[in-house]
Amino acid sequence: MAAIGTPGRTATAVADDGWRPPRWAWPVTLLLALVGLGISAYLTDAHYNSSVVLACPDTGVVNCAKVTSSGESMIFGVIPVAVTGLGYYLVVTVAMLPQLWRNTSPLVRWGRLGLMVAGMGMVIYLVFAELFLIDAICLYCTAVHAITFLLLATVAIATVWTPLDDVDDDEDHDEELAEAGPA
Amino acid sequence: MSSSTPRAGKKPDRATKAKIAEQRARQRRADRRRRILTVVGSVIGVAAIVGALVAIKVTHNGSSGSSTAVAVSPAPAAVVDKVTGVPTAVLSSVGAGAVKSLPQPIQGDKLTKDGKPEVLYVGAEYCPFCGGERWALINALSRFGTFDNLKITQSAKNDSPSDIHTFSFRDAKYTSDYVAFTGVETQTSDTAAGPPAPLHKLTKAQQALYTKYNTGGGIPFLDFANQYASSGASFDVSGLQGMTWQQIADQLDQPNSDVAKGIVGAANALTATICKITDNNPGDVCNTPTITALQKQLSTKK
Repeated sequence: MAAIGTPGRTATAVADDGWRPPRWAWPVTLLLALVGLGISAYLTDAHYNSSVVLACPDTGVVNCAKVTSSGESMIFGVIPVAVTGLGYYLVVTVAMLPQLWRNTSPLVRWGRLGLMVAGMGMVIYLVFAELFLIDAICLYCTAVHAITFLLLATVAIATVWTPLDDVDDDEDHDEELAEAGPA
Repeated sequence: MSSSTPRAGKKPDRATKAKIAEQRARQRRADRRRRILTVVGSVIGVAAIVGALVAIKVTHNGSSGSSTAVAVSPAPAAVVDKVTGVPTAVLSSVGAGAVKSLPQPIQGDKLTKDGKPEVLYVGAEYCPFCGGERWALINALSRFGTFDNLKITQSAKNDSPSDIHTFSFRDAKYTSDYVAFTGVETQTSDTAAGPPAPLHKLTKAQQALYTKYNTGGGIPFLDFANQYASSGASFDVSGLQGMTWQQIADQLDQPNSDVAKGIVGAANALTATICKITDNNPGDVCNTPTITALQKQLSTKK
């Protein structure tokens, strides 16, 4: 890994394979993570505080109460899914901080993507549970699922993204190599 | 080797350098495009999985008219705690509540299990009246012992009243120093393929009791050690329709709610009956004004 200073912008760390985070990565992902964190906190509050009633229909297909009080709302019958979601989004929010996006360590870069892949796996299970086991859909849960999907998409693209000006940098580098001739 | 390839030690001309740079740039652009396409393809794949789930669900519902699949899953601790932990003050305040019928005396050899008087329940998961009665029965039996592995489920959606959110005794374990309990759920709530699917099978002895003491053949059927029996729900369960497990559970400690009057009132009546077969043990459960008053009605109230 090396640090390359580009004229006109702050020096950005670059990974060994030339990757560096796109400038849109942290604002977009952090915003999504904060929205997901907020909804997860609301769902957790509603889980523990019976005076908090989710603003959501309680009849028909869309029935938040039916979902959040179902057997599937508890992992192994002990840990509320809402709490798991809140904990997950706390970790995700930290992972989307600009300081961690600037960190080009493979552990951070691919770990962040792994975190989103794991979250999406859980989302697919929860969607399955809502549709086929509980037979109801929770609007707030669906909002969190959608945000998780958008985060997966943006994080995945940002993880493999190589800015076009890096190609120009590489061309400069190629010229230098060509000047030096073959080893 | 191409004529444009520089030889070792010789400085490449401007055209050669530009060509090499362009080739490498092209290669990098291609790599970048391939990586992004891979990611975009994967993301589309994930979206397709979710879309497929939704499509299957919509197709399934469309072909069957309405969903008949009913889940059976572990009961959330928050719900179990509420139904098994109704405060004593609420039990006293509700009293008989909105109970509509009490178990009737029957004659027979005392039904026992492991040396304790036995309560036999025969019902089915699809049955809405069983669904309502289970709430009361779990509350009553929890005063004498402990349930483990309770499940939650719903009564059939195409029955009336429909879709009562309730428990199932299908895998439940009950332990008590005073009374034994056997819960038999003869059928599930799954009516997707026609009649509800079979679940538990009555033993010959249970079938004999069911036939002898339940001449009407209705469920839920309760046999209290062959000393008392009841058939049908003890209260009007239609008030539970449209409520979730948590919503029902949350009203159990509100003595003026219709839910508490129905479920807790019925549970008090069942408790009074169970106390009859345990010789009023334990005392702190059976020797209360509420239970004593209900016991006086047991042989007279229809």
